[in-house]
Amino acid sequence: MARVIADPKSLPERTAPIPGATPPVYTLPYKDLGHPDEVDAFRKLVREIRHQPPARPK
Amino acid sequence: MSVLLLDTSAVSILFQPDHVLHQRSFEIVAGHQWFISFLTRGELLPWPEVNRWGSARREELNRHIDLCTTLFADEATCVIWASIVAQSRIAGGRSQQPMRGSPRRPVEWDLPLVTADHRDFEHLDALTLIPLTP
Repeated sequence: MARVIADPKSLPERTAPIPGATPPVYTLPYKDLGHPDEVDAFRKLVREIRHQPPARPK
Repeated sequence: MSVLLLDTSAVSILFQPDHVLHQRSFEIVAGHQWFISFLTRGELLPWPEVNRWGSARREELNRHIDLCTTLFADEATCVIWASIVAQSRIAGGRSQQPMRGSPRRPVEWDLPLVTADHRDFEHLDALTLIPLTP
């Protein structure tokens, strides 16, 4: 089984950097004005494309 | 600071600030480096096309995706893919294509996977999951 954690702050610092990595993200420099339902519709579409069943309830 | 791999569900939720999971998700990933697999990038790019977004919103999505480093595949990725697919088959009941979301790369780089679809991946041994839940 995978290890499940709630907060990445509990993870140890990574010692070896990954080459070409973008900087850490502290703010989002834009604000999407779309409707939130679009996100769920898109996630559903992606699962259909992958031929995955609908996401199971959390 | 940690290095996180975001799957398609996580990136799309983080793009839309009014989504019910957005605020909690951003609290989890803020201050860390974001990575995505090339498959996640490939899944996100058609989103504007499918929904016929205008140019401004397309550009916003591109800026959002560019906050992430994209990890591309190589021979080692293929080997890990094979192992994970076998593990998923043995676990049974999982999709035959369980890895479309991204996990071969987090396993290879030892990156924790941030996802709202964590139940798809919880059977994988060599993976750390950070679920996005309300």
